[in-house]
Order: sequence, then C-alpha cells, then structure tokens
Amino acid sequence: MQPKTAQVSEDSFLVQQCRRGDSAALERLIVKYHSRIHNTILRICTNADDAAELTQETFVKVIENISDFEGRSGFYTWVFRIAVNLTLNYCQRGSRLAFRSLDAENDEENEQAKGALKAVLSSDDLPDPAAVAANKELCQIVLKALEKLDDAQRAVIVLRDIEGMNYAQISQVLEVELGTVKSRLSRARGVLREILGEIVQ
Amino acid sequence: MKEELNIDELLNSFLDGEATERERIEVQRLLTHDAEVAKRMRELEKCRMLVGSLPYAEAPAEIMKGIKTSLGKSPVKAPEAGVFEQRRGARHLLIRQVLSVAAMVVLVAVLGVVIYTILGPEGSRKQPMAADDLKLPAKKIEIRSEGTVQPVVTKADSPSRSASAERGKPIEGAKGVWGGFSCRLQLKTKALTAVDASISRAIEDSGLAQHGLSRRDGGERVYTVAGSRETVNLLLGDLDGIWGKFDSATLFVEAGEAGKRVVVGNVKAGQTAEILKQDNSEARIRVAKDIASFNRIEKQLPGTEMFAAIGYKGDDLITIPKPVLTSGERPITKPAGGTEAEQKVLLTIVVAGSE
Repeated sequence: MQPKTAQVSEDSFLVQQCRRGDSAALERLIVKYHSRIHNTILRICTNADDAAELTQETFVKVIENISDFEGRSGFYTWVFRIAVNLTLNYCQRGSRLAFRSLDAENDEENEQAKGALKAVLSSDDLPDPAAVAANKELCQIVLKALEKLDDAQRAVIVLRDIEGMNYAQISQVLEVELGTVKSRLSRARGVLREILGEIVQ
Repeated sequence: MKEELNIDELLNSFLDGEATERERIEVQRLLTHDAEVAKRMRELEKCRMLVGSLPYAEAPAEIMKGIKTSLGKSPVKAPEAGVFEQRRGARHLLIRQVLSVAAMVVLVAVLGVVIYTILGPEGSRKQPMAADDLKLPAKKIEIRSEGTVQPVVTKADSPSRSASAERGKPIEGAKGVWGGFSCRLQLKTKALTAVDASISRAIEDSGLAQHGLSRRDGGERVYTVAGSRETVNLLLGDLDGIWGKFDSATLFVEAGEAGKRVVVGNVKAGQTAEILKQDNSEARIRVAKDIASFNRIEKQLPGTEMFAAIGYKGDDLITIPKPVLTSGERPITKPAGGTEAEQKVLLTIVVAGSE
C-alpha cells in the first residue's frame, strides 16, 4: 500500500483532472477503489448481488458529484462515506439481511467449523490469519457472527478491522464524533466476542 | 458495567494503536497486574484477528462494466461546461468594456467638436470658402478698355490659381483685374432722359469720365465708374440733387473677401456716401447692414408720409448699437485707412425707367 500522503496527493491530482473533464482520471480513481468499496459494502450488507449494485450506485454518485467535491476531506474518505451511507440506508429500508440461523445449519461441516473456532478461542496463542482465511467454514461462522451485529456496529467493525481505517477516518466516514467511534467499536467487539463464545459452547 | 466498558474502550484503543501515552501505560499496568484484563485483551485481539482474516472479496467484472456504462452516459464534462460558461462570460464582459470605451471616445469627440465650435477661434468658424473648395466658378469683374463689362470665369482661365489668390489684387487704372471695393446702385425712374443727362454730367464734372464707361440698352442705362472714394463721393453729392426723381433706389454692396452681398433698399445718396467713405470692406459691410436695417424699419414706421411732408430726408443716421462680442477671442481689426486697393471704388449705376 502507498504511503498516505502520496495516496492523498495522487487522489487530489486525479480529482483535479476529473473536474477538468478528464474521463481517464476518473476511470483511474474508480479502478483504484472499486474493489475495496465493493468488499466493504459486501461485509456490511452481506449480500453479493446487493453489494455489486450498491458499489455501482456509489460510483455513479461519485461521477455525478465529482464537480461538487470541495476537497475538504480526502477523496478516499469521501467515496467511503458515500458507499457506507448508501449501504446503511439500504439496510434501513427494510431489506433486512436474510439471517440464517447457525443452529439451523447444524450439519457436519458446521460442527467442524465450530471445533476450529473453539480451538482458536481457547488457545493462548493468536491464530494464523492465513489458516483462518483458508478455512471457509470458519470464515462463514465469523461472517454469521458479524451479521448478528446491528448495522452501525457492523459498519464500524468492517471499517476498522477489514478496511483498516484509523478512528479519525472512521469518524469522518460515519460523520460521528471520535468518542462515538471508540464506544461503538468497543461495544461491537464485545458483542462479537459474546456471539463467538456462544457458538463454541 | 460502565467500568467494564471503559476498560474495553481502553483495551480496544490500545489494541488499535489509538491510545495515548498515558492510556498505554495504564493498559500495560493492568495487563501486568490483572489476569482477567489480560484474558479479555487476548479475546478481543482474537476477534479482531478473525474478522481481519476474512477473505478479500474481489469486485465482479460486471461492476466495472456497469460503472463504465454510467461513465459514458453521465455528464462528466459538467466542470468543463462551467469553464466554458466562465469564458463566455469573460468574453461578453470584455466586449461590453470595449464598447463602453468606444462610446466614451465618441462622446468625448462629439463634445470636443461642440466645445470647439462654441469657443474656437473666430477665423476657424467664419473661414471664407474659396471657389476651388466649392468647385464653383469664381467670378471677378474685369474692366476692359473696349468699354464692356463682363464677368470672367477665373477657374476656366487658370485652374491652378485659387480664387483667394485672385482676390485683393489692386486695380490697374480702368484696365486689368479689379481688386478694390465694388458696388452697384440700381435706380428706377420715370424721367429716364433727364436723369441720364444729369448722371452723365455729374460723372463728367467729378472727373470720373475718363475712367468710366456707359451703355445704353433700351430703357436701361448703365454707368460704370472707378475712382477714389473722394471722387465717387463728389459724384454722389451731385446725384443727391436729382435723387427725388428716383422711384426706387437699391444699393448692392459686394463684400469682396467672402463673396457676401448686402442689399440696402430705399437707399439715399448720403447713405451711399456714408457706406463708401468707410476705410475697409468690413466696415462698409457693417454700415451697409445698419443702414439696410434702418431703412427697413423706417419704411414700416407710421408717419413716413409726414417725414416726407416736412422734408426730412433721413440723413441723420441713427446709430444702431453693435453686437458685443461674447467669445474669448478679440476680433482682428485692420489698421484705419485700409489698403490702397480698398481706397478704390468701382461703382456701377444702373438706371431703369421710361419717359
């Protein structure tokens, strides 16, 4: 990943070019961010089709409003704000995520995933991230646990632990105070810990 | 519970590298001394690691296609349109400024002309128009020894010479080009023969006969005499005696320089003499105008018949106040006496009438 300052200056340059009508610069910005935006949206809304649609909608909004972008925040923050707002609005519109109860899928594979998760949680050592990522069943359990969080908590967890934003950036994207980010993240991790604990019991 | 939340926030801040120096020291102290907090810390760290280990979901290719389609339809050129509008506005403003400046220049020029017309030097406004400028044939009187008076077209004779150059040329006796003052006295009478005899005698007595010539044409007699103001005045003095025989007398004064002509109606011999005795052409024109005005007024005044009955001849001229020059420029006055040419007078007397 590029250093933050270099990323910001490159984004600023590309945004300036876009404002002058340079479609190539706009395309470069889209190529640069579209996968990250899609991943973030997918982890918040948890539905692949909706995530694809929301990603496209996000960039359409970016294209429509790039001339109004004043640069008070970074382009990166601005794009994520649009994406997260669209996703949270989508979640609030009642298209509730189709929760599938973990209890309902109490098959053999699920039992194996639970065992893997129990091993991770009971071990004194931290798990190997590559091993976790390779274990699809374990990932599914984690995703299901994420789905059980409310939208705001899930958004803050995704922005911090998946997208890797710092608290200040999360504060700008969600347009909330820094203290709110701290407390919301603390609650979200607490709930997640409880959910995962319940799963392995 | 609240304390637990505060510890969780502290632990999470420490975990995410967002804790302050003081908070970090506090967390390290807690982790060292409190096994429960250390355990909690490990669990939070595992949760964080589990979420962070979720596989990265690459965006489907259709998303990029869809965005590109939207990019093609969307008015990305809006900023450019704004720039175009700005440029067009700037151009419009520039044109307006140029037009304003041009309008101001024209206005100043017009004002300048008006002011110059009002306050400019007298000569610049009343410049006599040369015949060459008007493209009209300039006429001058040439007196020939053969005794015929005829106009001569100067331009035809010598196109290169300007009319102004011809003017003011001195008289060469009764021969050559006339450069002095000229006037014509138009008289009407019912006793043409008697009047003709009287005028011929008067011309002879005044000594102008050798410079003059006469022509008889049916009911019209034409006498042309040229001489000094004194001799012409003598002639007019002689004619004063027969002035009562004239039904009408009109004097045409030629103002040589500018080609002006003043017509003095109902003129008397004394008035004619008064005009001729002036030193220069300008003075003659001015006096001729005064007399013409006076005679017009006198003719319109009631009681003219009464003046005739008491024998008033109107010799005592009423001095009409002259207009005061209001412009800043003083008139250029010629020295008294005038030029030698101006002292010469060419008088043409035309008598028309019957027996």
